[in-house]
Amino acid sequence: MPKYDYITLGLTLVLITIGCFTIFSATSSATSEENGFFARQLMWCILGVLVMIGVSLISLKLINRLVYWFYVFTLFLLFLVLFVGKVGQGAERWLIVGPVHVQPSELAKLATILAVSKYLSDKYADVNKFKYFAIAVGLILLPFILIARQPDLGTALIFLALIIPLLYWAGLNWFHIFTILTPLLIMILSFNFWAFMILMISIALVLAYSRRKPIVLVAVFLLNIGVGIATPYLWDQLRPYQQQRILTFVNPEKDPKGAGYQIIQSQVAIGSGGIWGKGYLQGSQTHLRFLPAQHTDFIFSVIGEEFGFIGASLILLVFLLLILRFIHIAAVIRGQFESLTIIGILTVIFFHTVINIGMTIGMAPVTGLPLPFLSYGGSSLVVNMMMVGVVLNISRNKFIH
Amino acid sequence: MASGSRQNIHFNRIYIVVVGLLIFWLILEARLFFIQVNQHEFYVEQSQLQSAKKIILPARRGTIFDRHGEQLATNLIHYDLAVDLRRVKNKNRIANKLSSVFNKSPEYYLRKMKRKRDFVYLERKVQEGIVRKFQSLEDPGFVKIKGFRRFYPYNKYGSQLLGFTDVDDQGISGLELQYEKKLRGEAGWTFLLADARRRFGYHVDLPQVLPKPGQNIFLTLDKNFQTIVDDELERSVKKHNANYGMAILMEPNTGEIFAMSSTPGFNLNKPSRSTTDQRRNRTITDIFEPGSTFKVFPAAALLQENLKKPKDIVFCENGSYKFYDHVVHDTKGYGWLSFKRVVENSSNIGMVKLTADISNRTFYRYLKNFGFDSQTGVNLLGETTGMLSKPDQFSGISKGVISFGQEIGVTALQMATAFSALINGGTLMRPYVVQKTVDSDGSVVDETKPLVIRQVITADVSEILKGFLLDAVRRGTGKKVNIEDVLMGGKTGTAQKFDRKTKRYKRNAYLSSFIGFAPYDSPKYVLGIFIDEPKPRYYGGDVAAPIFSAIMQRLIKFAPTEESEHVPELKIVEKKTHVPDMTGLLFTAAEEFLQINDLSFQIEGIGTHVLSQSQNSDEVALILGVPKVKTTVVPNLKGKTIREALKLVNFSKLRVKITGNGIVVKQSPSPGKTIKNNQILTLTCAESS
Repeated sequence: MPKYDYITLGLTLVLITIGCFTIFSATSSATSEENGFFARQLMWCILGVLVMIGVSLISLKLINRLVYWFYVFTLFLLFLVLFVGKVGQGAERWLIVGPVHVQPSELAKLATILAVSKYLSDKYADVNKFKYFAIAVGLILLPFILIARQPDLGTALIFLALIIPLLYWAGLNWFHIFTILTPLLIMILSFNFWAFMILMISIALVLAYSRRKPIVLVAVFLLNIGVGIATPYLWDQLRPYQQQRILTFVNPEKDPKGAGYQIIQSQVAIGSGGIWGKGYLQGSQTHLRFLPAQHTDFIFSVIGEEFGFIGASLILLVFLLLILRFIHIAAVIRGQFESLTIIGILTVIFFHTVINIGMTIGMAPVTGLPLPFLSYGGSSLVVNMMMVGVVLNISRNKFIH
Repeated sequence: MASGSRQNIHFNRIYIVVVGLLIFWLILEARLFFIQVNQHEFYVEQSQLQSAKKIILPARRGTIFDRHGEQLATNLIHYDLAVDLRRVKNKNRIANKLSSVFNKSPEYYLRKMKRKRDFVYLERKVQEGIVRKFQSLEDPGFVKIKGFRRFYPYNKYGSQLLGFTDVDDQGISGLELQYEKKLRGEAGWTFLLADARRRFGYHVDLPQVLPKPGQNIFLTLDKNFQTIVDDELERSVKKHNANYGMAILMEPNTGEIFAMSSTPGFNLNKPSRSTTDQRRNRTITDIFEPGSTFKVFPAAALLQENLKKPKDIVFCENGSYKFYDHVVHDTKGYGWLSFKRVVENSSNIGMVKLTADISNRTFYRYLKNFGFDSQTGVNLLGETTGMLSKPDQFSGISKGVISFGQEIGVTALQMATAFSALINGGTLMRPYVVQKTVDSDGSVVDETKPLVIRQVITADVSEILKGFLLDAVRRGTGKKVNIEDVLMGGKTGTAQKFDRKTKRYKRNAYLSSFIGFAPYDSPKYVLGIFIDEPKPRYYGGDVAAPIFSAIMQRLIKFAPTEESEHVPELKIVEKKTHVPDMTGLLFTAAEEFLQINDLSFQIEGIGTHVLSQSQNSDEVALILGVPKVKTTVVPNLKGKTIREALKLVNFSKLRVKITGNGIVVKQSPSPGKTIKNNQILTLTCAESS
């Protein structure tokens, strides 16, 4: 009888329990329209735990066999949702099937991870070869484009974030990683002429010492210049609210009444919490409802205010332990498919966590990404639990390969 | 690649991954530490600054209307003057300016501003006109907070029934207290943010709850009748040097109360100048011995039980009759009188003898059925049940003296209600003053319908008693009530007042009363008048009956709906223009409407839409803001009224063109289309058929 991974299970249960308690606090002084969030989240938690255990117990071989079908199916849903989906509070879209509201983009995360992992675990797959590299990236970009069309930019970015960790874990060499990363840096710096010039000179130097073929060097260099020129143009193509979010990220104080309001309020809540916090249900910023979306995107601010630095650090620690545990499993597991899958899952959870918490403390833009396991929301919670279920499944089978 | 080498890759690369993770983790931890530990003080200060900016949006208190929709209690815009001590620049200037306007010393205000608080009220509920004097006072810490203040257009009329509110508009007495919950509504709140120029404004992204106005209350009271009754009663109380007077005017067939009066009353707009006696609604709280007006109720019992016929005669002992150890007197000595004449001439001795044949228990049952010794069900605060012994506690003389209105305590309302049953065919109706309560959107929340409590006597007995009362007015004690052309009936009363301390009847203290109805054939009004200790004349026929007739003359002889010339105060409120509810409208639309109708108005707040409005007698105030609409697609507006539709439109992106009036029948672009900036939304409207 293989051993169940109680560490992963325990850490997950701790997180969803804290989530429920915090949602209770965040909505306890709510207006009538917000009543019942706590009860609904409890329901979602129970469903999530059932899904997690269910997924952890089914045969991994079965999962492996169904991966591509699952991927195609979620692509179909993403396509469908563009036409019949209902727009939510942000820009995300929902499919409504009777009483159930589903966000296909949540499901697509897991489907994409599994598909890419399966593709790269093929015996002959080598990410350093262009064909495998391109197809793996293509598998990620397809859902990315569909979700960006919704236009749910935050969730779409998660898919981009998957590219490097998955390919890196699959063995991509440093030069290729460099080639992918530099255009991203260029994008950020292309608005400032001098920063752009200095970066281009550094890139040229690195390329010169890389001892690659001249044709490759020229291609990489031209690509970077191209991105640098195209970015300002693409910027104008962004929707005003998307531009606003990015600008506000750079300087929230610039617009204290508008988009920056959320970040400022969140920091005031967290900052006023101090070391020990104001106590459970005692957060004045929370209960006077200064905090925006305090049961969803800004749930961490409630924790920061009510449980202080100690409480916030403990939450961060639990997340860290969970992710280290995932890395441990990913490292010791035999199969490439299993290992890559776990890396993909931990990337998603890690990215969500860092972006969300970073947002609440003014270090990341307001993307509308929820905090895994804690934020209110059924789709996101159930899919996160499903992902933990996959990890549990893999770790359960780690010695029989 | 073989899986073995892949395993090696994983082991080599895990360290970089773990180090990368830890770096991110440390950055987050460091930032948290910076915010929560290093900068803690700063953020605590920020959060305190913010809390002060959360402001309450007071709900408009519900209006109290009379039966014809005249406002009896309404709201005016008033201001609280306050200082924000963190922002204030020149305290002396503020103190001096206030002192010159309000005639208080500057030190008084300076002392207030010394308090260790951030926010201090200097003057509360200041009228709009006075606030204008402070326009020149530009201090960033000087705050004018707009609010409502209760206003009673008719000052004293119906004062005890309506009641009043305190400085926070909390009901303190009367209906204002009793219906506090309904009238109050639910206050909303919003956040005010200061921009660089220190102007405060609402903002779309900030959470806010709009106030829910209180319910309006419609009374059965008739403003004109109430003023007539109040005026006549007051005049008479003065004329006869009485302590106080009470009157009830009601519809005998339904129980609706048209007027409920205790005098002297008080000015509802200046309640602090009144005594608790003036504030008491005596018609339901004060118990008194009714005297002869009560005789009709035992008479009803005798007739209904068939114990006596109207023509049965009784010997009245020429005015003095020994009854157990008691001597009963009549004001005039009578010999043999018929039952009917006993009532007409109000012979105590006659009543004592006539009621000898009825059992205590039956006698009590009838009184109880008429509603004595219980609450009337009028549902007003402070109503008492009156006083009446149980039949097994009756002494030998109890029944006899009760029959002419002693040894029983009643309220004015009990008398009027019982009397209504007596003459309306015998049905005891539940009296009521609150007709309905209506939500701010016009839907009826509660409605009171006439309610039959019980049948006390049969219609034919009621008819006989009406005859008694008609003759009492024609040739008996109540002769002074007669009005030409109008037949009516009634009964006088002159009760010696019982002194509870000495347990004896006072020698020169009387309660003079008259209760009657009109018109005779189909009674529409029952009016009870009770005057306490009139001097020197005290007979009901001389004191109370003339008031009855004065009031009835004004009610019946003149058309009752016509505006009375005697109450010039009414005019102020009559000229008001009806301003529709414009909340939710675009400001420009509201502005246009107000200009067309030649109404002056003023604006509070910043924004494109009217969030709420309030109305003074000659000015409308609009509070502006930006409605919370965030949709990015065109909503479906078909079938909605224009105002409903406008609430659903995102005005930051759409411009709206409206053609026609009424309900939206066509819209372009169609629902579900994504909104482009500055797109024009055309709504075609038509009146619903």
